[in-house]
Amino acid sequence: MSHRPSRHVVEDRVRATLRERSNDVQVDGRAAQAPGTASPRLDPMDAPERVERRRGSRRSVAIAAVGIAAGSAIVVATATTLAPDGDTADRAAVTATSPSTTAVPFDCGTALPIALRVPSATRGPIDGPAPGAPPASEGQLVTHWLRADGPVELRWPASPPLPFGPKTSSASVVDAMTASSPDHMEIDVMRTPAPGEMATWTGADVVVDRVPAPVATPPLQCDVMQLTIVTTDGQWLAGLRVTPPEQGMPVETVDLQPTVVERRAVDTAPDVAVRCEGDGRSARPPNRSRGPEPSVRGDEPVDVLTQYIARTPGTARSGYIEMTEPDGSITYASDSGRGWSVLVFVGRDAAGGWSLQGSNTSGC
Amino acid sequence: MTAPSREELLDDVYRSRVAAMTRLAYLMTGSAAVAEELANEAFLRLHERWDVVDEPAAYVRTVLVNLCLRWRRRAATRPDESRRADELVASPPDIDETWRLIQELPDPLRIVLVLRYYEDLPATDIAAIVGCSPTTVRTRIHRALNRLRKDMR
Repeated sequence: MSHRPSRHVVEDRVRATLRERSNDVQVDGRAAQAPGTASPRLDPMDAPERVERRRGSRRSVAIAAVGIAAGSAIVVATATTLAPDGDTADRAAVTATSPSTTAVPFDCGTALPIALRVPSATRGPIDGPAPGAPPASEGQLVTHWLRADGPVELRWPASPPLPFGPKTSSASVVDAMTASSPDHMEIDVMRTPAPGEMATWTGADVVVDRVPAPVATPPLQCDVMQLTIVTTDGQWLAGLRVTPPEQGMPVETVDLQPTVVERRAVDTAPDVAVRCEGDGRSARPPNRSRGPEPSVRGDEPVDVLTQYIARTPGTARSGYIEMTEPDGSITYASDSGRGWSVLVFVGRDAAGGWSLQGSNTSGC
Repeated sequence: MTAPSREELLDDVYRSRVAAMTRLAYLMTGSAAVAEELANEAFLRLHERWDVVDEPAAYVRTVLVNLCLRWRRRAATRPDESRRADELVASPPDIDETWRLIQELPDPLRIVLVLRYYEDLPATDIAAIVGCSPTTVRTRIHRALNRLRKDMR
């Protein structure tokens, strides 16, 4: 009988291996100089020469040479490929076409684009919202299952992400999703372990299968379903979007968390983000600050935050805390778990609306 | 006291991150020479985009991950590139076996594994780098660990 190592053991071996192998590379960052600071190894004025040198070398990396020659155009292309699954675009599509959860009727048909089962259910599927959940929008398909630990609910299409709402996530669910084939995925709800104990899986609670005969491509606002799993330690909410088979799983998840999850009145809001921790081998990179940008404005403070997020690739897209100071100025803060990693400052502008007063981010 | 100049700030980022970024690129490409080239390329792009980049360390890491992915895709179709993986000094059997298994993982799984267990990044940060949701990152990590677990002795 063979024994497979536990997840904990695998994680330890992966960490040890990566640390060990990373020592194969010897780089002395203290002796190096940055590009643009007269570095003999990476002077931007040397770029054309580097391009030519690379073209003649078997060790050339084509993308690097093109990157230098085409400059910002290539960087823009890189930035747009940072979200290959279209997460941002799809989220925008949902919000743009459905500004209100209840005002816009949906017409996505009656056949769900996936097959979903809940093996751990004691009852279901049952038409309609789960107990305590909001009513369905017109045309929105809603069904739920009842489990001992709480219901599972599926909505199609997803309700649009709210600009403000409570954070809905549950640590007992998100670490236990696995796709065993391009057509099959299981979501296991792990029971929250007691302190000092390992989390345990108790079997698949939700099973997602690709529908054998795919329906016609749905309208944009219909491509995301909303799955809610209530567990003993909270509620987990995610969007599910059907993916092509070559992606290796039947669905991928889409962030449906509200942009702002909490509002606070504070005497003084933080104005400096926590610094990046780095990797323990080197110094930490500096924070970045941005000044006022009057063109980033809106009727409501959260409109400014939404525009800032849209203009800043890679920044947190949800989960912000809105802090209002006595003078009415507002700071939106994102908590990385180590401290505030993104701070966005918003204030009244001359036109009576709100505009971006600045930002400070940890730069990591 | 005067504010640091652009060159000083850029130099600060470079000095603080070039070693870590080169190691990260090495873990993703398996070649020290390629890793150094790609890391320098990522910093060169930061230099070119400095005025519009808000989070330089994050920007460099994201560009680097994309450069590594593109290099690997290119290497997959060019045997002379793929042979550039370094000959390694023997390590304990567990390390050698695990390194081999990590290198056999599909790119999307290996990238998130390296970012999670070498860079110690949370799923939200990895999601921002690779351009997917945090839950997708967790799914990929889970799948990667499952594969390794299945193949480990």
